Amino acid sequence: MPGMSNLMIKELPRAISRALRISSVVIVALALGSCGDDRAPVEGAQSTERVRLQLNWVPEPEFGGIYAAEAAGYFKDEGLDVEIIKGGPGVAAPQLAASGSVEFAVVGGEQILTLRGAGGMLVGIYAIYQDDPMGIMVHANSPFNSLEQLWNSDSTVACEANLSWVAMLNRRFGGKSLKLIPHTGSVAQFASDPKLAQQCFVFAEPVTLDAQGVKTRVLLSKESGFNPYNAVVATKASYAKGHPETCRKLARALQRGWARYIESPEETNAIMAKLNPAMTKEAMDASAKRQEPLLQSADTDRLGLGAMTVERWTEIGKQLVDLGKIGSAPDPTELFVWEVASNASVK
Amino acid sequence: MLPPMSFAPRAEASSGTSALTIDLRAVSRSYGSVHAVDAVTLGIDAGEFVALIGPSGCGKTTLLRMIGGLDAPDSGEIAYREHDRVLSAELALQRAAICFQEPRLLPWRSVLANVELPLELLGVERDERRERAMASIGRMRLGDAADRLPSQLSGGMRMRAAMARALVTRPRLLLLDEPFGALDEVTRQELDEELYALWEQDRFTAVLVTHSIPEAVFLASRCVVFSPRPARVLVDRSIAIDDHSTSVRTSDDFNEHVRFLSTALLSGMRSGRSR
Amino acid sequence: MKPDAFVARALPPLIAIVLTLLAWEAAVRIAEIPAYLLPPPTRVASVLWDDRVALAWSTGRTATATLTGFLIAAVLGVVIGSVLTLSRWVERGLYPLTLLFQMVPLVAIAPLLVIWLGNGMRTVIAASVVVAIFPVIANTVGGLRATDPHLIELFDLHRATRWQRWRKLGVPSAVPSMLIGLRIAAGLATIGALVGEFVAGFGGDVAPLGIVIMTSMREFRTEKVFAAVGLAALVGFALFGVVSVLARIASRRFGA
Repeated sequence: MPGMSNLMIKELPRAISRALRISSVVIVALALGSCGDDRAPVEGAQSTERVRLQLNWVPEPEFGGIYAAEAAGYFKDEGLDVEIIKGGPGVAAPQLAASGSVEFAVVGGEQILTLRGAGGMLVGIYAIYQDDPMGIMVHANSPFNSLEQLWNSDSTVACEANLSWVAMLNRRFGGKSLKLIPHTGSVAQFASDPKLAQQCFVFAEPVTLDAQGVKTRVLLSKESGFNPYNAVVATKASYAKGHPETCRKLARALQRGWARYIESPEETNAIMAKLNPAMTKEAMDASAKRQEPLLQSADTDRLGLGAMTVERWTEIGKQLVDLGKIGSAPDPTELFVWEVASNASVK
Repeated sequence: MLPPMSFAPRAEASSGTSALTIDLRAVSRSYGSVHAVDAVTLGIDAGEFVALIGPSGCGKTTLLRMIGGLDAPDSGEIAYREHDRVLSAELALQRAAICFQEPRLLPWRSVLANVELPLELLGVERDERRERAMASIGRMRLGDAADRLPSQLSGGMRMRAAMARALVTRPRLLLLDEPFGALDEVTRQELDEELYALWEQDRFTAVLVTHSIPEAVFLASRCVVFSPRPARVLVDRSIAIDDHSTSVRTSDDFNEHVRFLSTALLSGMRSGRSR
Repeated sequence: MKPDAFVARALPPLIAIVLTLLAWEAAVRIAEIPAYLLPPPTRVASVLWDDRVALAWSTGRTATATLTGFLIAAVLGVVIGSVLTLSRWVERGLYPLTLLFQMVPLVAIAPLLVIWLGNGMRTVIAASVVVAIFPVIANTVGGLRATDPHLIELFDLHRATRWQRWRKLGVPSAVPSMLIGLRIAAGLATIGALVGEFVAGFGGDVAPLGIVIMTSMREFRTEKVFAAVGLAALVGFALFGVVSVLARIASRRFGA
């Protein structure tokens, strides 16, 4: 090759061997990293099955039924030794379950669908929230009583960009005069501005503000028409296939735990308040009250707490395709498993 | 940018022999337990070229630095006079320049910019600065190197640049602290000759600290030999040589002076040792 | 650089990069690693191409924030460093305070910056400055303190004012050291801008790279995360490269 000197020719073998050394290290690292953690659950002396359940946030009433089940020994009753792993900001719960690092994780219903597009196959086995707990909070004396009214006004709303239900609201109600500003995560600005509306979780920010003396009303996101399940206990598809009985047992124990939590949350709240010093037991009590309506529906009356249906999942899938969030709607039966009887429904 | 000092730049101040005299009276200096200079009394006349000779560490550099205002005596005084009028040290030293053993050039400046520095610090206008600096560079025969950086110069040329800078303000008093000590013998002798020529032209008062007795004899009209530390005057000898060409260093007259001073120096060192 | 030497220096890393990319692609395919965990380089490349316009704008915004943050850190750092050397007392008193810039992790104070300065470019630039400024201060102080005492004496002899001493002696002589600080600051300014964008980058019509990273993570589009991270690294490299070149030019003049 013209221009190639003896120097280069001498350098070449050394360069290649150096490059190969680097690449082989990279390959090994990748191979090790991709293994994931497919450990089979440990069989104990009394044949208890050990599983890990990863929360996607800190202990809160959102997970009340889980901690109630643990405290009352419902997991043990099913022969399950469940390790509840606390979450927080930055915990990638869906990926942890999909990769097998943990057996079960609490994820958003929407995430089950969007992760599929990226190759992560999750299956829901228990839906804690039958209705999406997100919404827009307004000050108590705000003139707006519905999201439709709010959307047709020229108000300022602080919310994250790219929320699916917000996209739906824009489609349904237009919102041309509406001003959307970024959501900073703090309630300080909202508290000081009586005209501001802000996204919230129905059981979180309003409780904090109430404690500060700021009264609010929450306009639930389900009004947009997009109302996915939320706080869904999920596992990776291959695990659900290989351990159907374990999934059933866990769902049953969760049902009993949630029934107990709905009945009397204070006991469990005391436990969670110790695990999460940032929230007082009183705040958790108020929060539990606000989330109660979201835990139950006509489906849960019929099929038991935590139930999911093909119809709902079909609709969620279709809506996400319409919104352009996923390419195609998958077979809804691949998204969840529900085989638990309705013996634990309340009311 | 602060206004320039309120006196006329040096070039206008006098051609002709310097009228600056220096009187040291019982000057002493110690650093902690180290007694550097011991009650030295010395007078330097206007236009004289005085060489200070002595063993290493004897305190002659300290003496020079005190004359130059870089250090102050613990006791005794240093008085400056011009035309028999007493000058404050401040005023006297405005008319002074010092050359050190290291050239102390700013490495990021060209030779020209380095030589301009004293004038620049005084606030002299750019064109005048340049003219005077180039003149000084010319006198030191560095004309070709005006735009070079110090890193691109030999040791000898760097020393010339330092001298050009010292002379750019046309000082009435020039203090030299072993300026050629780091150079080879040939360059040293060359620069001795040039320095002498400059002194003949400008007739500033000069005080030279040196280790080289031949250099002292060549340049100075008077050589003072000091004892080992603490410095005391041992010998104060006038030097009168007619010839200042290169060949004078082989003449008998010259070497007689050298022998005398060397002897004085050595005996001073010997008796110093027994102290 | 001579062509032979250039090739000899550029070839080994280029070969290593190409082989690494091939190995990465192979590993993902053979082990059937899902895309959300580790996307193959081909997928990263295709998202870089498909979204090239949007990503170009995002890169531009992050680059603007980085450059602005770097320049402010550079100027402020030199000024603060110079002020610190005014007197020993000032230095002893205030220098430990500047260490705070170094010690407090940006991720911890970034949310505070948002509260104080609000959302948007202002906060992103502030974050960039906070991270990048300390090496400039430290190296300016170090450089000024290391000024050749012989030269200081020279300036004193000529009765230079403090200002003259700083401008004509201190700063030029501290330039090599300052440039070292600036090179470090270049890399840090990028990191600072990214972290700033994580907490304050919302709003505006163009999403900076930090927001692209966050949004892509949320949407499980890991290949876009890689793409954005790669582009952010490029911004850092570019700035670092420019400063390095300037440093090399300057060291010829100012270097010891």
